[in-house]
Amino acid sequence: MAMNLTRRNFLKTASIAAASVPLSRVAARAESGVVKTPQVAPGSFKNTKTVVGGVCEMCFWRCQLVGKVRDGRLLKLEGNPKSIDNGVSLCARGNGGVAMLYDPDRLKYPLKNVGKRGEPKWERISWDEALDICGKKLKEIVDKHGAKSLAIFPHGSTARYPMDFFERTVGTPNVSEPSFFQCRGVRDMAYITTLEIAPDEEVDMANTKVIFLVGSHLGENIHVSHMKKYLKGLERGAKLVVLDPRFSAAASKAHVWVPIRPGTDTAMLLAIMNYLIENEKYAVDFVEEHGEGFEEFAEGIKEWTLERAAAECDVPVAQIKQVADLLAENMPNVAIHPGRHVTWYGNDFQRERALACLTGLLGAVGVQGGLVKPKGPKGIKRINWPKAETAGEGDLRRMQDVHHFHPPGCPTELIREAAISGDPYPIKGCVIWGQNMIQTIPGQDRTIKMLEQMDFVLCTDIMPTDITMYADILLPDCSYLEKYDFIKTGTQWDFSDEHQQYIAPRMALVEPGFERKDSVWIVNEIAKRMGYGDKIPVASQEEMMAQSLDGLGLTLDKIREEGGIHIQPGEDPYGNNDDLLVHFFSEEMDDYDYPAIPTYIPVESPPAGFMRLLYGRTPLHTFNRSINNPWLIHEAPINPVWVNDKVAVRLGLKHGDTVRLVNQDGVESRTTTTVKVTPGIREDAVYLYHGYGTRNKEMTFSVDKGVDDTSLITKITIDPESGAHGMRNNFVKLVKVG
Amino acid sequence: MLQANSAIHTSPGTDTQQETAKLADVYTLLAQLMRYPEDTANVALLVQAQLELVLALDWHEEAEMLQYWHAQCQDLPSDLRIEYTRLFITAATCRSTVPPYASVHADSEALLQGRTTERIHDFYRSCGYELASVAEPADHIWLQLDFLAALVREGRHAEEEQFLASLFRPWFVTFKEKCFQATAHPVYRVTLILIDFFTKEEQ
Repeated sequence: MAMNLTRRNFLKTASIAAASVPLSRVAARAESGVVKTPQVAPGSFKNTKTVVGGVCEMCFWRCQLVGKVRDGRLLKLEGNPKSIDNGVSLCARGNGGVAMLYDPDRLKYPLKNVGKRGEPKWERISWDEALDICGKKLKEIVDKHGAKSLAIFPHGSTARYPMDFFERTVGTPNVSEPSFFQCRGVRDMAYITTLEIAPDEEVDMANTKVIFLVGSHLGENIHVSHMKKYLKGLERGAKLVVLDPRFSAAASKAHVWVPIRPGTDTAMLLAIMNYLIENEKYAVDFVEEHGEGFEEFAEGIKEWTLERAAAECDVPVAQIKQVADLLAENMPNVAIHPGRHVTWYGNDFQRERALACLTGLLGAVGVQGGLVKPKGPKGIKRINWPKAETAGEGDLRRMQDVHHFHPPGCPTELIREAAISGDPYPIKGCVIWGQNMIQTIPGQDRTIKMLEQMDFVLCTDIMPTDITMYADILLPDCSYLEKYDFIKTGTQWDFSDEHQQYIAPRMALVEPGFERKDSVWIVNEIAKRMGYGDKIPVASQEEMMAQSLDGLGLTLDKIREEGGIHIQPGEDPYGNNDDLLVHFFSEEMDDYDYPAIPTYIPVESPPAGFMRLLYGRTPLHTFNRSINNPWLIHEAPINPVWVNDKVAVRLGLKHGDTVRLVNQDGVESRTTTTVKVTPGIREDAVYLYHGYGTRNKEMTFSVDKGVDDTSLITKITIDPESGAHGMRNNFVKLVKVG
Repeated sequence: MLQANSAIHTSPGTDTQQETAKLADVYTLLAQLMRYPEDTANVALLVQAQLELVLALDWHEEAEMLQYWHAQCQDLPSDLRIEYTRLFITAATCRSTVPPYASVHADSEALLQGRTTERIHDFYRSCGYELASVAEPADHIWLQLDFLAALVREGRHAEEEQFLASLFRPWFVTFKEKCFQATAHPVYRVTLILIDFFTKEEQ
């Protein structure tokens, strides 16, 4: 380059003449990105508007939002003042939605992988090209191997429409949602089996006398109206009992903290119930009226004395008795929390059954402070794809006659195993919609192996999460702030307040950026290309919302005028236990040869020199979904590993030391983290916040920060009743670095 | 590094109108080079114009880089698309993306649609320009270069200079350095050198 040449000199030179013709040609063909308009005085675009209708999805709780929008740009999110759920409050993640929307790492255009899976080389392509490839490849696989040769891994509200299409209309049975098989499905099925109720997290904590948490770490695990219930209950004088090997945020507020040995919760629950029965400290009348198989149950858990449980759980007899008496003294107004992410040890169905039985034993169903299902609005129509006659053929679970109490869909492990082995049939196409399977499903190597043998992998997401590195085609989804895809309904959170119901359809707060598209549009276009154009139920996401609301006499415009939320009179949720049955002994389980009364199944103890790897939530992240959020990662950049202070001394570790984790199979964490030395964890366990250690370098704010706990979960445990993964049966040691 | 070019001949007198038209065309070329190379037919035209411009500047080293790439590359559009995607949209596993948006480099939060985006958009409007129907934020580099082309075509050099000094150069310098660390591709390296040359303050 000529050093002393300036632009002005160059433009005066004769030399430029040679370039003039090609430059003119380019200019003649170019379509400018800017156009002449009437001049606008500065300040004309400064009117910030409040846009209503937002429904958060930084986590699954879905608080209602308003957006402060200026010139099409979202400046701030706030809780919708009309909300009777979260009200004007938002958590840190909810506020962080702005940074998610404008994260430069977000997916912007359809991409084709011209490299190889796991080591992608991307080429931006048009939507037409992307959809043509998806339609052609998926159709080829279905034509060659049948619908069952497609596996679908959907997550979140964005994925319901695609899931329905592939499951109902294309007809594959191989659909597995992590929100069931790696999270709450076990809980729901165990409660349905016991109380015939899917509990969600519907315990009336605001009006209870005792809150009983098993591993739930509310305060670190934050959902706004759930926290309101919890804190209101404590404010009103409820006693808090927390079973947790770690001194969690909840434990720090507890009246009784039970630092229980990991994996032994069921033993303690059985001992509590046995003690209550032996001492007639249970809801005798309620059990007589609603109980089924109570005698067999009482007889079956007799062996669980306080002393036996104390030894098993490493908890003093007096403390177990204290907890049992506290529950008895306050029954039936006790909130036995069912938990949320409950897939811990591969024996979790039994633990959740025990929690449901304890709830029944205390008569804590449908009463103030107990398990109370709110009476929300009815009449919202679910828009569905038509069901093909052949839908569901080739159901792996049925073929193997296992996991008879499985949540909806197919256990993830069955799909993965069949895909890897090709037995009983090939699974060659994979659609992953809105979830990062690398960090939701244990056994990362097996997930990768499954994907490597596919003929085609489609991922749709808002972020380039780790799993997207394995896609052939990667499609950019709209985020929850840019679309209409969900109707949140419910009631006021405090049942002692005036009974009200709300209907809050998600409405876009801003236009989608770049070339992002919503899932209704994407799936319809794929469906047309696969030959299902005549089966499309709605033309657009707005039409889907309109049809869903139609039966209620509501429209999006009307609700927008009402401030984004429709409020109507509600109903008293208490009482109405007429049809309630508590299956203390489950004949259905007995028929399938599972333990018919809640049964403690011991888990393996840590090998010498190892500690059990526990994980959980930080209030700043919803696992991997929010890990790259620039605001949130700034506040919680890594996940320090909690180590007991006595153990730290023995290992020569100091607070702040950098360590790598190595598990029982010799698998090392790819990255490092720091040590948090604390007396607030048992000696036999360590703890990490989940969702860190991103490996995809395109997640530039989070890559290589902290340790990916899922990478260390290589020992796979399966809950026999449900087929869900157990994820706390792996052990680690810490290796100091540097 | 090449020596200062003694072969460049300065024309006698000043033809401002011609210079203005040439500069506008240069800005347009640079804008087009910083757009995603979607139009296959246009790619050959762009890279040829880029090479001619570099040759006119007598930048031997850069010209050789481009000529070598032209000769070696079997599919220019595809090669450019993959590199553009990797460098500006989403990278493969070995290097990171350099988003071509001013706000990511100029604002402390490093987000899209930041305060800088708003200021740039406001500047367009204050000059009587608005975005055509594009899905990109106003501060994408190609939109800024297109805006500069439009200003220059109207002979609005004072506003061009103001825009360059207050809104373009402050982030572009950082952006260019990051790109240089992230790519060895001659087309984009040379484009950035050209942008730098045509937008930096005259010494």
